[in-house]
Amino acid sequence: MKPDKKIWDDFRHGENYALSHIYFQYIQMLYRYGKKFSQDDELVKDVIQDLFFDLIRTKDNLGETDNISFYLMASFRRKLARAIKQRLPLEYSDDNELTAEIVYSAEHDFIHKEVLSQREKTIKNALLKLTPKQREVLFYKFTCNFDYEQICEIMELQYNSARKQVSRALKALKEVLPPSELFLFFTGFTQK
Amino acid sequence: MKQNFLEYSQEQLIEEKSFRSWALRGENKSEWERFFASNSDFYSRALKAKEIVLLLQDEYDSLGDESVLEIWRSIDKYEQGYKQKVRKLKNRRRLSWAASVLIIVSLGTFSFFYLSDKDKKYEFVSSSEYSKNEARMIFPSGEKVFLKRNNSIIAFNDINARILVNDSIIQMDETSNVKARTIKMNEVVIPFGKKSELLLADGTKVWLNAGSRLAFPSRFTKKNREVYLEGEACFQVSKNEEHPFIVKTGDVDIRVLGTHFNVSAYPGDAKIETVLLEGSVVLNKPNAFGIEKNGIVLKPNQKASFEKGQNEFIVTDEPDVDLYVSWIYGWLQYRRESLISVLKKVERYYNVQIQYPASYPVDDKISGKLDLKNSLDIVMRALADAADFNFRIVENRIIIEKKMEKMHRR
Repeated sequence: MKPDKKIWDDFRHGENYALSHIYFQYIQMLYRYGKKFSQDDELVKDVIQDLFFDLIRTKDNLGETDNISFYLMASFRRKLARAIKQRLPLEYSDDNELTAEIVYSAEHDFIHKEVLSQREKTIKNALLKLTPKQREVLFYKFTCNFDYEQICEIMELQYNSARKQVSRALKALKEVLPPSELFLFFTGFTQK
Repeated sequence: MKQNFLEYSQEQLIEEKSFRSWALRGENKSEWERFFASNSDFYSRALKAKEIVLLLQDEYDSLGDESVLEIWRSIDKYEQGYKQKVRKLKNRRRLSWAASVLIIVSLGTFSFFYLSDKDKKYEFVSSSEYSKNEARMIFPSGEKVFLKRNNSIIAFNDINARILVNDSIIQMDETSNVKARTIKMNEVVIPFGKKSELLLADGTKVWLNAGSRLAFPSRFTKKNREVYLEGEACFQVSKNEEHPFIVKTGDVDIRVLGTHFNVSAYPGDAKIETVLLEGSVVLNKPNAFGIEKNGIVLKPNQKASFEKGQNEFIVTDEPDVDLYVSWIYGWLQYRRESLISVLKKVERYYNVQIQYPASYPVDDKISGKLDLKNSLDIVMRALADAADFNFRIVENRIIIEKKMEKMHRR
């Protein structure tokens, strides 16, 4: 597997393979990410396409990067914010904050369950306490493996505030979560 | 495992990337398990941390294969259009020393491959019946996939060993690939009336024109990246100086180090033409001993014609090389080209036979541009206007007649 820096440089220098490589590698991640901000499928797809058009056009002026995923997502987020704002009626357009709506798989499962156990209820309430902003920071940190500096850059946060959000969220989860069902985990683990 | 993990709080553990890789995907499982076994206190902490990691997995949608390809098609089209624009600008500024090459080779009377002894001769497995049948792809296993569209797109995705054919995805058989070190070839057969775009495993892009076959490996594992062509194709080759890219057409080998070129090599045409848009390529006549001598170096905006009868190359300057690749964009453009040559192309694009009287001056030169997305009737009418003939379409045949000089029927 070639390192990101090499692939990115190859793209900037006009190597043929690089564009399709980057596209097929990151298309699903970009779509997954875009859908956090808008449920409008066509809008998300349009902005992804535009993002790549921009890359092609500005190829000669692109900077270096050793993290393609971060580079793409950061530009994608800016473009998406602009596109969403354009579609909003004027009275809402003052609010230029982009809000991600991140739903956890567990929450998704709870919605489809008729009866929740006590434990599930506790977990549900714990997750409910996470703010959209916290969720977005956690997503970058744990799903995208970005570092705090990158998170602050992408969300336009002050330095250190991303770190604070993460530690606050983790602490809250840790306190609220009931003791894990150790025994179950153990058997699962010894049986492999 | 790092000993100082033992000092970690749950939060610190969660932030540790290697820990998350274990929690989510079981990476380095045995190593972690050994570590837990000797530190049971730590294990309970780790389990709770794992629970939090698992809890923070987001729910998400995937983009359907059809949409993935649809977006790719428009991006790809945009890139090609952009490159063409840039190329034109560069040519205007006389800066034609770009990094990629575009060649057109048109191959003439050619019935079989007599390649060097080392390579043995390559024989296409697929039938060369171009007039019937659908466009198809044949895998080394013998499996066949029909390409339903008139303009198919095939992409070899080296990252996850998948082949995308239009809107469907084919998983490459990994194990058979490893075993088949003998470089078994895939073949794509494009009948008359269709064309196709391929993205090979090394990122090389190939447009395959009507009535053509291309054989290529799923992966390039040899020193040279070799493909075999019959018919016409345009290549945009990924640069890799250690693994030269060679297009073999039987009579001529085209050797490129990383360029973009178009080859047209139809059985039945009298010559093989290679037109270079950018970069540089070397043309060789492979002889029976596999020794390549007298290589011809082609520069951008040049055309090399190889007449099989004369057994030599003629290199000429071409002021507008984009004419030769107009078919990629669905156009047929020609400038001072003989009528017969244009008619032959129309035959291939529309899968028809054209007949004309023996005395008809088919060598007359014509210039123009035809939109191949139009119906045959419209295209023929445009041609008839330019070359001044009458024609009738009878089923699969077009019969050309001289205009009666003094009889005005209309």
